[in-house]
Amino acid sequence: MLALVKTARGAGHLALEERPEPVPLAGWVTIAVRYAGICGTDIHIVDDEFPYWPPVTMGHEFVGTVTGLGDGVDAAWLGTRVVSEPHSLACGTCHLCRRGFAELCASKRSPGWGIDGAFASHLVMPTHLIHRVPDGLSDQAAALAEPMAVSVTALARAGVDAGDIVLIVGPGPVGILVAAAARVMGAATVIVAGRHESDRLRFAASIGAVTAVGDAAVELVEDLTAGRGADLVVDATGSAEGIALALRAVRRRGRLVAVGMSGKPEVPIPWDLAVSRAIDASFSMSSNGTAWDPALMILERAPELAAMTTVFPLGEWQAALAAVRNRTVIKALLQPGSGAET
Amino acid sequence: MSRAALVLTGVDRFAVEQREPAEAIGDQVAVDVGLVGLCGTDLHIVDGSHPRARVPLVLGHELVGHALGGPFAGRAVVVDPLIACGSCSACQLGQRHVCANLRLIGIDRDGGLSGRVVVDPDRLHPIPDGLALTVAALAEPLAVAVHAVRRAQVAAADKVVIMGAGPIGLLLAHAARRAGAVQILVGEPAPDRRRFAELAGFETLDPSDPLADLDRRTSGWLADVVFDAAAVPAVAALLPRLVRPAGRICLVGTYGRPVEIDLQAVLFRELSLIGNRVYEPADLDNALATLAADPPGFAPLISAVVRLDEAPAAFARLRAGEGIKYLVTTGDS
Repeated sequence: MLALVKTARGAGHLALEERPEPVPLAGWVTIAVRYAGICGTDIHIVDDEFPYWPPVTMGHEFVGTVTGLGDGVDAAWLGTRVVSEPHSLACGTCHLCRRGFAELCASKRSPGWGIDGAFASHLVMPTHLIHRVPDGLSDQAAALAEPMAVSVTALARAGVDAGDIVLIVGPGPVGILVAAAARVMGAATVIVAGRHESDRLRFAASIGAVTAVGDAAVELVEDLTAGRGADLVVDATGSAEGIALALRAVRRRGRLVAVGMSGKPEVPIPWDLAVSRAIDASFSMSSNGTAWDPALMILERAPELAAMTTVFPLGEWQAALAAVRNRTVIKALLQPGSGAET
Repeated sequence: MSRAALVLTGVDRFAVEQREPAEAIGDQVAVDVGLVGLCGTDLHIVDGSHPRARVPLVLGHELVGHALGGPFAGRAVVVDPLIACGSCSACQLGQRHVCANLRLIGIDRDGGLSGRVVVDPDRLHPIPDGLALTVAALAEPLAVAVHAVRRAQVAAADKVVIMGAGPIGLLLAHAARRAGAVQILVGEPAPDRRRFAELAGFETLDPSDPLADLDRRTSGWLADVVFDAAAVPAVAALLPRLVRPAGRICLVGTYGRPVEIDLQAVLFRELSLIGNRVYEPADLDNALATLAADPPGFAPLISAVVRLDEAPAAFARLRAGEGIKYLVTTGDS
């Protein structure tokens, strides 16, 4: 089968290569990939800014169909449409695994960087990580399950109360999915802020968010809250500018959740502003297993999110990566099954 | 200028009297009451079964109107009817809503059916611009539901059972849906109320065997959270069996006397048993924001808006189980 492989360490070293189709171990299944999403993390891997074990097939966000069973796997899985938590090879016995945080296990080797991933026609995953896709959910919406689970995990860190005013800084895919999740979780008003007008902001508006550009977001929050400030702010940028905006918009005793990586060793933040507002701050990484059922439920409630995806045949991976880097698409999906790869 | 007040003078006996409107003293604020919601607690008072209320009394603790002074002068407001003593342990800990000596406007002192109340300015919550006063009048009972849903930590994808489809049960169902519950199943013996819950998009449980029906509809999962808005002994006995292990039982309805509940099941299945009295100020704000986000979703809960002199008849309909929420217009508003 053809697979998009990170062949060696260093920036670049990406190639579409012929690889043997994987065989499932006991307790694992083979999944025929329908769509696989390209994530910011994938770009960091290509650029050698995130740990990985080459040569490795990339891709950790996917929806597919179970086509093969390892020993001991319930045959009912055959033919089932599934998505999967990417927490393969978590040890199950460390301090974090025992507390239900397999996503943070140091031994975890996820598809796409630790083991062969989903930018190929097939991959294998352990059965305990896969989730059946509800019948009503389209393939393109289901392909958003992993970033939606990341978004739900982030929101669950701070909790969403009925009637909350929530500001999300950064209209990237996770920012948009956080906006959709916050609405389902009870927020009264969701505001998405970007640095400039963009298709991403316009898409956020189309799913019911109020949008704002730059400092106007702070004024908008003040207007909507009679000067009080947002109950919950989510930074989905990892940038100094984004975090500062979030802290200027949050109310006293409000909550901040950081879900964006900066790609830098340090980020300056307006510390005294955060202290004087007595905010609760959380940092969120990856997705907890408990977030996956809610993520699928939220995608069912918001089928319009499928429209944030743009499909590229696997063979057009260079164009897809460029579109992600240049932000000319919101979420790029690779489709291994389409003819253009051959 | 005197105003008409509906006075409860005895068990199920009302009189319309002309009264001089109460005047604000010091920092207090007078509120021109626009609408008063009638509630189950009012029925207990009318029936003479409320432990504290004494006639003659002007009912009405679900109040919206316009502030005549203070920080929100001229604005539409919801009145928080709770009056805390300020000195008990709960008050000292900032938990004034569970004050050991809690009193309410409209129960322990004259309420909104006089068209005018005088309160401390911190009792007022401004109504968001553009939200109709009729829908805003649901803020107080919705705050009860929002408070309970928050305390029960209803999360996205939770399966929630609500026992009792009266006004509070329905508002709990709405609040649970707003909090992201994936499946909301209402247990209610009265067919009319079941149908009303179904019209609002909620599932209903087979009243002949709600437990077996829940087991089937959730594929054996059972409920993550059960809310008791029925407060009858048969439901109390069922509560620990309706939730999954480590589930939450959230009590919202008022029991008139002690009932049996299987505490061994609570212990062994590690259940949380959560009491709820009323609501905190934040719950009123969140209820208002929730209403403002979806007025059409809540408007069907309002059965009728009636005049002051029609309120006794509305109480009778409420007692007969007809309708959900009656609002009474007062004064000239």
